[in-house]
Amino acid sequence: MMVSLDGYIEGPNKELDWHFVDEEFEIYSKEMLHSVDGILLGRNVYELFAQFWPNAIDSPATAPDPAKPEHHLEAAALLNSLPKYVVSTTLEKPDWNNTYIIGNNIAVNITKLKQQPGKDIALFGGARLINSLIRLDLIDEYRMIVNPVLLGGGIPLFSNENGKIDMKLTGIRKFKSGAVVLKYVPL
Amino acid sequence: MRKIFLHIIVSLDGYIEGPNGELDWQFIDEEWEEYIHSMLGSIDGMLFGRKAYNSVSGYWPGAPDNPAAAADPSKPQRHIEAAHMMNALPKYVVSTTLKSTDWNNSHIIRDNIVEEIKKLKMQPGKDLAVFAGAGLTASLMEHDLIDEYRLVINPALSGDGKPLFNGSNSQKNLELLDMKQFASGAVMLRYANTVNK
Repeated sequence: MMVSLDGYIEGPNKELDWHFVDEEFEIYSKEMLHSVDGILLGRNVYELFAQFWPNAIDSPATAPDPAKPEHHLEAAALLNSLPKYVVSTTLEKPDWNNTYIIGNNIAVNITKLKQQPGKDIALFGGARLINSLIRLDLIDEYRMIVNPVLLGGGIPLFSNENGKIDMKLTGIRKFKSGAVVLKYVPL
Repeated sequence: MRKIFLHIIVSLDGYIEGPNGELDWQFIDEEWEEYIHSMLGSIDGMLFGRKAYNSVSGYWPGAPDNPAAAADPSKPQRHIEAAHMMNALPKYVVSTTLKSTDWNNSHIIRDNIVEEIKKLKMQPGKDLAVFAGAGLTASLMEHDLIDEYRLVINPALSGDGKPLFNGSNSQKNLELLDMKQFASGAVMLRYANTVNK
C-alpha cells in the first residue's frame, strides 16, 4: 500500500496526487505484479481500477510518462489478465475481465484462495478490507510504500481496533523519489 | 541558523504510546545506545512538551548511577555517557503550567513560544532535538519550525494509543535525506521539511 509518512492512504479530499510514480516505481510495480497470481480488492478500489486499467491496455497516453509507456502497458496487461477477487456484498455484475466476487464468508473464502497452489496474492485495499483481514489474521506480509509527505488528515491505513501486532522487518528499499518500501511479516 | 529536528520513536501505525501508555514495543539494544549516544553528541539542546519532559526528567537524573538500566548491564558505558549528556545539555520545556523544575539546566518556555523557539534557532551552535508528543509537534509544524523529521519506526502495530500526528496540520512535502536500518527491525527515516530548505 502507498501510505504517507503520517499513515494516510488518501488525503482529506481523497487526494492521491502525492503518490510518487516514476519509472523506477513502475518497474517495481510491474515486477510485483509478475510475482502474484491474483489480486484482492475492496469494492471502491475495484471500481477505480476497473474504470482505469481496461482502457490503459492500449493507451500509452495513460502512462505517467507517455514517452516511455512500456512498463505501464505491461502492468496494464497483467492487471487485466490476473484474477481479481472483489470483496463486496453489493457488486452484482462486474464487467472487468477475470473478476470474482466474494460476497460473504470472507474468512472462509480467502482462506480457500490461500490454500490453492500458485503464487502470492496481493491485497490492494481499501482500508476497510485491509483492517478486516488484519483482524482475521489473514495477512502474511505487509509492504508499505512510505511516501515523503505528511498529509495532515485523510483516510488512515490502520484502524485503531486491531489490537497489538508485533512484526519482523524482512526488507527495506529506498526509491530515488524518496519513497521507502518497508516489508514486514506479523509474528 | 541551526536546525531543529524532531526525533521520536513510533510504531508502524504511528503511535508514540500504546492505549495504556505502553512503550513495550520500543527496542533498546547496544546498537540503539550507540545511535542515541551519537545523536546526543550532535546537539546543543533539546525541546520537550511538558508530559515528555516529566517522564524523561524522572529517569535520567538517577541514570548515571544505575548501570543495571543499560541494554547490557555488563557494558553500561554508552548508557551512562548518554545519561551524563541528557543531564548536562540545556533542556527547554514548553509548558504554561510547569512552575519550576529540579532537573539541571532546564528552562521553561511559558509564552511567545514561536518567538522564543525562533530565538533559540538563531543562536550559534549545534542542532536542537525535539522530543515531543502530538501537541507540541503540531504547534511547531504549524509554524514550520521543524527542519527535519527523524522517525524511528519500530516493527509493531500498536493498534491504538497516542498518535504522533494529530491530523490537524496542512500537507507538507518532505525530502528523504537518508535512512538507517537497525538489527532490531527498527528503521530510522530522516526527512527535510522542503519549505525550510
